[in-house]
Amino acid sequence: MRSLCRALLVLNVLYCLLAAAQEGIPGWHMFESVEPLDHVLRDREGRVLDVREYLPRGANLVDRGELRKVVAFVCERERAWAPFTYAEPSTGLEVTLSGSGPKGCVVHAAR
Amino acid sequence: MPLAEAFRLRALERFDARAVTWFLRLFGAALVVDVATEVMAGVWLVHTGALYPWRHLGIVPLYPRSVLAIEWALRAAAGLALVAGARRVKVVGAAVRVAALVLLVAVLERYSNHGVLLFLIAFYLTLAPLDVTSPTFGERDHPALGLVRAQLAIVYVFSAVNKLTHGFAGGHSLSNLLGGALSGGLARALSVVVIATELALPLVLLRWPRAGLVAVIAMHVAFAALLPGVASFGLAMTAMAVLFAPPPRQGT
Repeated sequence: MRSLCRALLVLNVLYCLLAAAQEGIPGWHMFESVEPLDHVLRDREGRVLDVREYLPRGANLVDRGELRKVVAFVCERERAWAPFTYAEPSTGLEVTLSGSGPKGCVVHAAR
Repeated sequence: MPLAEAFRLRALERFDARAVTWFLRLFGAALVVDVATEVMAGVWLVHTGALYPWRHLGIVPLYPRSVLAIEWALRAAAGLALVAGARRVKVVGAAVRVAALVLLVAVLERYSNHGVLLFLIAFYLTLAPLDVTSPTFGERDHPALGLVRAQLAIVYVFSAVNKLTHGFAGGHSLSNLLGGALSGGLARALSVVVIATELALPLVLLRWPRAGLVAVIAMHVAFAALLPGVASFGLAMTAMAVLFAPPPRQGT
């Protein structure tokens, strides 16, 4: 039992080292890099949509990549209100999401 | 005092039966709180397609709501069994097996740090039966419980390492996380305090278990107050911190 537990401990630590060194691997990453997430999403009539209403309560957005995926989800769910305009004041990004076609809701932008 | 004695390095796999009982109860409570948090957060609506599939990695597809209901019921039942039956070896054995299996599926479907932590604890507890009523419990080694205790150190240390390597100490991440409510200087200072606390807690728990437990509770209460959805994680960490209570001295 002791040998098994020690082997599990070593594997655990090695995995955590790998996750710390390699981006994208799940590890004990807890809010260490939270980007500013200022943004505005408007429908065709100019009404502002709150993307957080499309997230489970308590979901903490920490990066723009995820935010843009949520925006795409909102756009797809609310296609009836397309086109949408999406803006990120701090990055200067402003795009129109047509809502039509397979990529009509994808936010294309160099990060 | 020699270092090995100060940090009880010779008895890292010895545990106090009363502390282990409370660890099991708190771990059970964490399982129940985790289910309640998911219910209140609207994870059900994720499975209807109304909400964004938050944390869905795609390893296991989003499963039907009936399966989610069964998953929640099994996790809550395992948690309640641990709260009520922490001193019954068969109840603990069955509860941790069910919890480990269901949590593994849940984490593969929607990844979360607290889900992984709860799974790891449950999995470690399946490795050896735990009879806290045994009169010799405190005199025997319990390597699986040692693994649970080591997990606390792993979480804190690697969380701190990841913060250090991602520039958390600069204060911007904390400021952004709290919606810009902190000034630059205060955010920097608090960020350094968070990292220092995470690095120090495992050592404080080894050397001064009671003070360490108070610090763990204080830190996670603060996190839970500032960030929604992290209560079960704090409860699981508190449960693990309870395991640092020193074992009874032999012959007493």
